[in-house]
Parts: sequence; structure tokens; C-alpha cells
Amino acid sequence: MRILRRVIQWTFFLAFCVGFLSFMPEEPAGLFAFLPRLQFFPAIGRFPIIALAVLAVTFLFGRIYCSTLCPLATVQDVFAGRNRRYTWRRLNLLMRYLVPAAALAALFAGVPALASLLDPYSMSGRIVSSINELIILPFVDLLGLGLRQFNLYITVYPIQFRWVTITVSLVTAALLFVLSRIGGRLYCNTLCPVGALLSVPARWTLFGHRIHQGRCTSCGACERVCKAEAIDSAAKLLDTSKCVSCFDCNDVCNFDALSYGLKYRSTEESRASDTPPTKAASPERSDKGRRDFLKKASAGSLLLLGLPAVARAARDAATSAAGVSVPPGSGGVAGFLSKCISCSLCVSRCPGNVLQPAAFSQYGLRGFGVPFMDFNRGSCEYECRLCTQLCPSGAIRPLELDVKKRVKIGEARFIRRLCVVETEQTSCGACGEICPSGAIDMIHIGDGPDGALEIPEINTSLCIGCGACQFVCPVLGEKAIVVDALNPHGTAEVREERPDTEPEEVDNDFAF
Amino acid sequence: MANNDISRREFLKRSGAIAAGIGAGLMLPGRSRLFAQSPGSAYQLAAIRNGEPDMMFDRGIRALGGMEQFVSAGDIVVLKPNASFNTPPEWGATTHPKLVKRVVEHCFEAGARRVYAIDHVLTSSAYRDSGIKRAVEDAGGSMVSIQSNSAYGKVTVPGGISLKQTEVHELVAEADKLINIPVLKNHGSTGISCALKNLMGLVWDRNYYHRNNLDQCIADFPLYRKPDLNIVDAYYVMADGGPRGRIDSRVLNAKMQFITPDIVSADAAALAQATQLGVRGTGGVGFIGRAEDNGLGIGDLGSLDIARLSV
Repeated sequence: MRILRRVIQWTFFLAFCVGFLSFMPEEPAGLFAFLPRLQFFPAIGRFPIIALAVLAVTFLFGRIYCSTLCPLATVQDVFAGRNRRYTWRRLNLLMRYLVPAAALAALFAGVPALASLLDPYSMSGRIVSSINELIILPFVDLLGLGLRQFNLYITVYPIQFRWVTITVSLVTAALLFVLSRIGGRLYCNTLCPVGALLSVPARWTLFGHRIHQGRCTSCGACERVCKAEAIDSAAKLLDTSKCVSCFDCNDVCNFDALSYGLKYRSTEESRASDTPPTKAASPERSDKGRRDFLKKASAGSLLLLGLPAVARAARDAATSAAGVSVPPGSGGVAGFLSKCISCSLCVSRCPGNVLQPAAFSQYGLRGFGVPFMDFNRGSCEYECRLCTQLCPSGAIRPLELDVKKRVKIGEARFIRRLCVVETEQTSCGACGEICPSGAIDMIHIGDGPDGALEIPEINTSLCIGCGACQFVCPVLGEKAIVVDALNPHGTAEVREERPDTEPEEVDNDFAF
Repeated sequence: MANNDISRREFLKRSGAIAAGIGAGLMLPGRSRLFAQSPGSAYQLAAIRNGEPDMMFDRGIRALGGMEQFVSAGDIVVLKPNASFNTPPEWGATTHPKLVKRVVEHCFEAGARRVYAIDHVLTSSAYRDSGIKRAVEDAGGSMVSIQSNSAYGKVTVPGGISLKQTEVHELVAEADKLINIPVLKNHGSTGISCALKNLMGLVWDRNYYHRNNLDQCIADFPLYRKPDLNIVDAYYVMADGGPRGRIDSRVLNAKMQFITPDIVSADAAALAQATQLGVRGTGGVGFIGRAEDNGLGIGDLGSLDIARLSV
């Protein structure tokens, strides 16, 4: 079982990583778009049915999700290293649920970007993206250089460096490293919002690891290998709400006292695992339980009281972010901010390199790490809808390509005094030649020393705000053609197709 | 460092080629117009019409003495098609894949060791969507994506007026033969786009051109390296809305092709034909005259021996 768990865990993890590589083929998005969708946290917003299914599976079989599908599980296991010795860790309700509850509250209050700072899927996504940027892309570049010496040309990709993602990832990784060194899956049982949610059905799981009270000698062999620190061998207790079903303990018991199966086989065992008869702990425990309940209730009411305030702040933040361009399929900045968990999947894979993680200047604190469209670094490719296919959280909804081509996310604006045609009296036309929607006409304004001078005229009803013109504008510094965001998104008009779409047959003879 | 190596190698190669050329010229005194004329043929330009792109190339290159006149055994050949946009061939924004494929096949038949096709395109999906990647690979060549600047090296443009130095992909410097396969079309910035304009896809920083007298930069680039052969694809000619084309652009199925080793003649022929076809912007083409002023070739079509062929 343990081997099987490892194989499944690593297969999922590696496939997951591949999905984040920026040089993956653009089509089909299929397989690698599928894995992030199985993740619990994004599924809450996009495919609640998947989230419910995970909860159901957890009720049936325990937190197997936490040892197979969760990519951060693998990261922590690597950090923890092998052959560590663990001991039972007592965690009270506050320690276990306060931070996750805050994260979940943030998610439902419409501040998913902040919630995602603790979400295992988004954390993994950012870490994998950073590895891609810091290690894989430079490696591919070097490999390309090496192979060129042998006249082999592979496709190399521009090296990206997105400091927001990288900084967050480094902090995340450092935190995880410390936590997993202290106590294996300490993150899973104290900070992780998904772990916190799954621990509830896992407490009453049908199938789970159980300790046979009669056979257990409290030797501690299982406790030492339990990275979730869910086994108290002295008390012959295994807390299935903390157990991540890694099966590491399964074959270490020399007394055949620990196995995976139907949890409540007998009333004796049932009672044993829920309220173990430990050294005169009972009165203290019930007292503690009451204290815990009071703490939980007060924390809960604090959160409930806080929610409207957070939601209001969030809405206000969205108004101030109205000038930020967000991808087609998101509907506009308000909806985007209320759904995006900044996992950086779209950022990593964007072939136009236009999606970039925001720091604080775009959306403020509320949208830290959420992608925005940076038309100075790239543009939204006309024939592409990859992000709409990939997004697992529902922040960017799927669009057919011909629909996507008409979604108006902004509008280009020409600043004549900055244009090289005006300042250098030279012809340019870079914006006109790239405009994919045919919204830019070049207008003759006279003749310069080098020939005809033409400046762009923007047909705003055709402009979709893809930013191609701003990106290619050769003016250094402030560009002469810039895109103003349109929030919420609109619909652009399209040029009428020629009545005869076939090329015209002509029968001209040579002109010379 | 590497650049020095390349330029030294290039220098030796070129000196060798020039010495061989002069030697051949001395041995064959009958060939008087050695540099303007394709060796082994009476014609300097082949104009072909009324056929499919691949058939027209077969016919035209035969009239110029065959591909062996331009590609030698063991050569590394670099092709520069126009693969700029992710549009289908019928839009006329990119070189017809059938033509590209046939050119690759001819290169190999002439003994080329390796054939690469390169273009610094505007969107990376263009290699695939234009159909050119497939065409090159079907014929055994490689389409090299040159969208990252790590393989570009700085070169000087001797005698360049606006473009004095630029960064080109190292394959351009390493190639024994450079074959230019532009598509003839309308162009919003330069009137028309054809052979000279097509070479802009070999440099890294296109924006430099746009900031510093586009026409002159286009006319300066071949001072660094002239293509050994230019094959103008005028099968589908985009008459307006270029260079990308729009959904309502006029595209003419002109079914023509011009082949010549002289890049200025190629564009002069293209411009004359575009004018006759009624392509927009032909009145405002500035780079051909400038290229001729740079001594890059002959723009006067009347002084050329032209093979006029019909398939």
C-alpha cells in the first residue's frame, strides 16, 4: 500500500509539474488542465462537485487526498526527509482551525488571493512556476547552447523572472521546510484550509487506520514513523482526523495491532479511539473540550462579524482596480479578483507572456499575486485561449475562440505627441501592422525627409484591447499607444467578412 | 569571442568563394556578367505564372540552371520564409507552405547537408499555424524557433546608413547559403512587403528599425549579408490590410513567382507586379531605391534578362 501510495503520489506530482512548464505545447490543454481541476481549493469555486466528491471519499477512506492528489504533500515529504522520528503532538482546536478558518473565510469573503497564500494547490503552483523560471528555463537555454555546438537546434524560451511569484514561493518554501522539519505534516494539520476541511469527515471515516487495543503494547514503533504525528502510542490512540493516510505505519507494527480497515468494528474499539482511557485525563479533557468550544465559538463569531467588513473592503478595492486589464473570460476585474487563487498556471503557460503576477500597485493588498495583463511585457494573442481552458478556479471561464476574439477587455488610445512619426519625422506603423482585429488604420499626415508619414487612427468599436499595439510600440519609456482597461468587459464589433471568402481569381500577365 | 570566430570563418569562406568565383570567371571568359547573372544560365530573373507554387518553382529554377547553381554539395542552407503570422496560406500573409517544402527538397537534391528555416515571428504559434513548420519538416529540414535572444549575436552592417549594427541569429552567420522566400503583400508601414522587408525577420530588435527610419534600415541590412537566392511568392497576393491581413482584406490569386539572386531586382519585379495588380501602397515604397543606392543590386528591370514562363 505504501509503495502504491508513493507511486501514485509521485506520478501525480510530476504530471502536475509538467502542466506548469512554460514550454508545454499550447494545444491540447487537456490532460494538464485536468489535474489542477482535481484540486480541492480551486474546485470550490469552479467544480463544487469535485470538492464534494473529495469530501465524500475522505469520509469513506480517510485523508487519502492528502497523500496522493495534493502536490504540496510531495513537497513536504521531500523537505522532511526520510528516517525522521516523530512523536505524538497535541494540537488544540485553536491551533488546528484558527488559521485555516481565516483562510476559508477570506476565500468566501471574496479575497481568494490572500486565502491562496495558504492553499496547498496554489502554493505548489507558485513553487513549481518558480522552479521553472529559476532552474528549468535557464537549463533549457544552456542545453540549447550546448546542442547548437552539434548543429542541433531545440526551441529555447526567453528566461522569465517574475519576482512576486518567486518571492512568495521562497517564503512559502522556507515556512514549509521549517514546519516539516519540526513535525512532518504540521502544515497539513495547523495551516492548511483543505486539511482542516477534510479533517472533519476524516474524524468519522468509515475506513481508516485503527489500533487494536488488546494487541497494542505501546511500543511506539508506529508513532515514530507517523509524519502527521497522529498516533499517541502510549494512549493507544490514532487520530484519523490528523492522519493523512500515507500508510507508512502499516507494516511497522510487530504485534499486528495496527491495520487499515473499517474503523468501527466493535464498540470497544470505537470508544477506545474516540476517548482513550489515558492516565486520568478524562476530567481534564472534558474541561478542555469546553474551553475549546468556547474558544472556537468566539473565534467563529469574530470571523462572522469580520466578514462584512472584509467583503466591503474587497468591493472597494475592486473599484480602485478598475483600470487594470484582466484576461478575457474573467468578465472583468471584480469577478476575477473574487475567484482567482493566483496559482500562476495561466501566467506560466501564457504564450503571449502578457499575464504577470501583480505586486501591490495593481489591485492593492487584496490582489497580491493575482495576474494582470502587462502590455509592456507581452500581448494577448489573438488565436489563443489557453488561459480560459486551463484556469481551475473559475476566475477565467472557458471561451470558444471566435467568442474570445470579440471580448473587449480594453481599448487602445493613441498619444500623438509621443509617436516616433511625430517626434522623429520617420515612418513606423508597428502598431498598425500587428493589430489583429483590424482596428488600426494608418492615416497619411504629410511627408517627412524619409518619405510618407502615417499615424494610426483607432477604430475603437473594433478594438478588443489585446495590447499588441502597446507591446510593439517602439517608443522607449512611455508608449505612444496604450490600452485603457474596460471593466467589466464588453463585446467588440468585427469587420464584415468579404462576401466571397475565397481569394479573387485574377489572370494578369507579367507587369514587366 | 564567438563572434570573432564566426566572422573569421565567414571571412575565409567568403574570400574562398570570391577567389573561386574570380578563377571561374577567368577560366570562362564567355561569362561577362558574372556577379549580376546566375552562373550557368542566360537569365538573371525567372518570372513564372499560372501554376501551383511548387510547380512554378520547379519550372523557374530550371530556367536559372537548377538549384545546383545556388546550393553546393555539403552546404548548410538557411531559408527565410515569411512565417510571421498565424494565418492560413490563403490570407497571403505568409509564404505558401507548398513552395517552402519544394525549396527544401531542391536544396537536398542539390546536395545540401542541412536545411534550416528561420523567422523571428510576431506570435510563436505562427510557425505551426502558417503551415510552414510542417512543410519544412515534411521535406526533411528543420524549422528553428528563434524567439529567444540567447542565440543572437551582434554584427556590424558595413556601410549601413541607419542600421550600423544589429543582432542576428547565429544560423545566419553560420549558413553557407541564405535563401530568401518572401511573400508579396501590402504593408501598412512600408507600402509593400517583399524580399528586402522579409529579412527583418532575421534580426532580434525589430523596434530599432521602427524608431530609426524603417525604409533605410530595411535597405541597409543586406549590406551585412545578401541572400544567395530570392524566391518571391506571389501566388496569393494580399492587396490591402497588410501585413497581417484582416478578415475583409482583398486577396488576389495571382499565381505568380519571381526567382532571382538579386534582391533588388526581386523587389523591383514585385513592386511592378503589385502596381499592375492594384495592390495598395505601391506608390509609397521607399526601400527599393535606397537598397539600389546601397549598391545591393539592379532595380531597372529593363536591363535584365528575364525568363518569362508559364506553367
